[in-house]
Amino acid sequence: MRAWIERQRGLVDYAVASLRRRRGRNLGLFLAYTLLVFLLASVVLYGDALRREARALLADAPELVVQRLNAGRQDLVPGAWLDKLQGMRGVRGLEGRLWGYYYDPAIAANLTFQVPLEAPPPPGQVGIGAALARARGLEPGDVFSLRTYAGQPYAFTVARILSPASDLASADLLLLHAADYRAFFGLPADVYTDLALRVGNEREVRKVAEKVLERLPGARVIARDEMRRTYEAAFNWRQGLLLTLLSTVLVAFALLAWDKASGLSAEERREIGILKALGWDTGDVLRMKLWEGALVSLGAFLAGYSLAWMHVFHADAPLFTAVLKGWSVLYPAFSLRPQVDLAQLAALAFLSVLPYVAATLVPVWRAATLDPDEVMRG
Amino acid sequence: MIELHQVSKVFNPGQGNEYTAIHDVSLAIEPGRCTALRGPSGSGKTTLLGLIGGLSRPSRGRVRLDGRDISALPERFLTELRRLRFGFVFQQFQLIRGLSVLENVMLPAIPTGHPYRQVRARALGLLEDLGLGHRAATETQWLSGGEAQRVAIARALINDPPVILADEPTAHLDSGLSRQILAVLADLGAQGRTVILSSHDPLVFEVRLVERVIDIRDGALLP
Amino acid sequence: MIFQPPALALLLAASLNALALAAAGAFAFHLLRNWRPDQGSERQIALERHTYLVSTLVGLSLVLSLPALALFVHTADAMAPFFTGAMCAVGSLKANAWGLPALYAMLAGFFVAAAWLVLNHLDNLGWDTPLIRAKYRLLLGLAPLALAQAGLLWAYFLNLEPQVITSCCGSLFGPAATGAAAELAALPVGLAAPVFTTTLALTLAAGLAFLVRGRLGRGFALLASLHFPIALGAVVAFIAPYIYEQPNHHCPFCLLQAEHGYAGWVLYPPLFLGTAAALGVGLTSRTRAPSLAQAGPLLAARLARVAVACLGFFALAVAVYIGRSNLVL
Repeated sequence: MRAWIERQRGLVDYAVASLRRRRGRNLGLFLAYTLLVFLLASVVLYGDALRREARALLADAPELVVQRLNAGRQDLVPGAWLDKLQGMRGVRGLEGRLWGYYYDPAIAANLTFQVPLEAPPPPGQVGIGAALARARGLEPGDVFSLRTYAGQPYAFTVARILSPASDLASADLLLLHAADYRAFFGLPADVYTDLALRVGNEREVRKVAEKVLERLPGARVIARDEMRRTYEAAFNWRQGLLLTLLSTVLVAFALLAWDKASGLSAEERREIGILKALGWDTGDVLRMKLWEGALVSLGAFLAGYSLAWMHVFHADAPLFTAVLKGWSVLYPAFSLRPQVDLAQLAALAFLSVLPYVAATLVPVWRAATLDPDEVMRG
Repeated sequence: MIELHQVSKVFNPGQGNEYTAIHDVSLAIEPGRCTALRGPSGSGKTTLLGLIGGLSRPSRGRVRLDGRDISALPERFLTELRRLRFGFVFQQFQLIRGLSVLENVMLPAIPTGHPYRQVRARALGLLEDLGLGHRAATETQWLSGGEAQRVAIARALINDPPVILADEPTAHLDSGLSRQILAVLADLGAQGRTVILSSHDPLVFEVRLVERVIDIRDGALLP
Repeated sequence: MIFQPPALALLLAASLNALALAAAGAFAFHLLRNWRPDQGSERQIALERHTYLVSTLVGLSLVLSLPALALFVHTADAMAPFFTGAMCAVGSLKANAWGLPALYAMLAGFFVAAAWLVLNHLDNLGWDTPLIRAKYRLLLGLAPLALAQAGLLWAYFLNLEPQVITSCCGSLFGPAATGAAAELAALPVGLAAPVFTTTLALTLAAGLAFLVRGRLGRGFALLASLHFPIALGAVVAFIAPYIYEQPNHHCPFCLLQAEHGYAGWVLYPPLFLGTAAALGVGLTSRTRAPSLAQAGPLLAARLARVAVACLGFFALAVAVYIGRSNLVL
């Protein structure tokens, strides 16, 4: 056992020295390898971080949302529905929600108006998202007005700017009091946009949903899990699409690696011949060359991953933002929270190192099986 | 005791440039003595040396080492045998450029799995014995012909083999250096090792070294 | 469903593996027809050279098989939210007919590759490579397995439909479900525990007997291969509930997660490794080839030590988990 370790150690030493001697030759490949890992890792890191953000966001959402449909389109929910759903088993909380969209021509963007269920701002005051504040140049205490659908201007005072921590959702948000909402949109007192139900036990959600449909036949019930699934699917799909597009880069890299490994210089052939003449067998030469490959892979993987990390978490991934985040005029300036995931690393390693190994194995083996005969004849 | 029985070596068999380097050679090398293969260039000395030392396999015939047939051994066994029993000194030295003298000398020991420190100490010892201790860290491309030859010898000795094979040991050296090298080889013989060398340099046969001469011409032994 | 990084990674790995081992299988066929060790002909030398490539390929396949297995289970677990009714990996794997067969194929692949590498190592210790034919016949079996693995994985990922209602471990392993998996969980502890304990004890005893006396090598291997499915069954039947401290939670995959102290990672690797090593003992303990007269028993002894150590550790871990648990079944 000890002998085996010493032997490997000797082979690794030789591999390191060999790489150092041929630095120039290997540099091109190393850079290409690093680039590949960088691209793959950027996509994976960014997509995963977005997914985590969305999941965190949805964690606070109500388990069930009840909407009213009118000829297939969403309609306002009457207050009577709240009464109909009273006293259902398993339901911890039942509330009517008020929220909607508003197009602000001044900044050419869609705003989301929302009456928060907890701690709404005092009448006349609003909390606004950071992106909105930026776009309109607003600070707490400022007064601004928006035109209602009736054509009248409506004044709001900025109470606070929402914290950028959950900027993904709050960028274009405007939080206001229920009275303001109804006045602004001209809604009667007893209607809501939809109803939010909180269910205590996760396993009961399905049953509760069924019961709601029994009591309110025209309703549409959306489960939080379904929303979560949809978000995840969207991010997954986009990520996967990008990765598949990057497969062309992968193939190009594999070809480069294969070419590099196949083209042994006369010097390299001579060296292998000498080693074999000195008493290294094919297995030793093969293992030494595999160590070379392993060291290059490790170096490229670390370099590429680190660069991707910085690209995604410190520079906000300018290369992929458009595709992965989706559409919006007001891009939130949020920073994703970095997190290392072992499974993610494993997947990345498979995607980047395996093609390299696959491309170089046969050429490396061919090199290792050279005959020492020729060396003797000098 | 190395024996060759009706050994032939054919290069590129079945192809247009088929070439028979060794014809039906049978010989026995006695241990502990210095044997020389004498013949002009192209006579097959180098090929024959390779066959004796297990560096290549015969196309026909058998090679026996201490009574054991090694011609058909799988490569890993042949290589292990060669590693432990034979030390080669090549005509062109064949040192690896970019590596230091010390690293070159230690190369044949890597597959043996012996502890690094032991091997290093032994390598330094060998270099000292050959007067090259001060050159241990030098890269091989900066060595003179004589120094390179001695490094090659040190390398051949790292695994303490009982048999040394030297192909044209004086080929790139002047008379003075040649005598030095031949003295080193004589020393090795005095240590009890078997020395087999090939040469067509008359100087080799003038000094007190060679105990048996085998003449070879056009791939066959002369009686 | 296929468009996610871990799935793409697994499919790439499985496809490359299948390609490599299929090529190796074709070579095995060629070698079995043309191997003439007593000749030094060009063809023989070329065959020898190719054996280096094959052993490297199978070695790589083995090294990657365990991480691939872990990644597969982890991915299935992460996909669980996409399937209504799925709470963890089991639900994802049952989402279509290909999930569990793919898992079994990967498990089988690990053991066959391990067996091959043991045979290969032993064979190379003999100057006349006496086991070469047996070895390459085994390879002929490994190739279709690798192809099946890749095929099943592709079928699984291509046929995943996220909205499908699937059984989660609750209904799969719960009292109302039917099917082999539910039967295991329904095994009362009174039956499952003694069977497991007896098999494990017998296996360890055989291993120790081999270490001390050098006999029962094949018996040890046989017992270990019997023990493996029983141990997995035991995990489902009662070990998992003890670890979760919940009598109705039988899922063997949830053990791998952080919230249960990565218990799966403590239990599974030694079990797998120990069983593979024991199989190796069975393969190496009774070689009749004269060139392996010394090497064979030495290798068998080494493997036996590894096997007994791993299975012993497994036994200890199970005992500790059950002992520490607040549950009493």
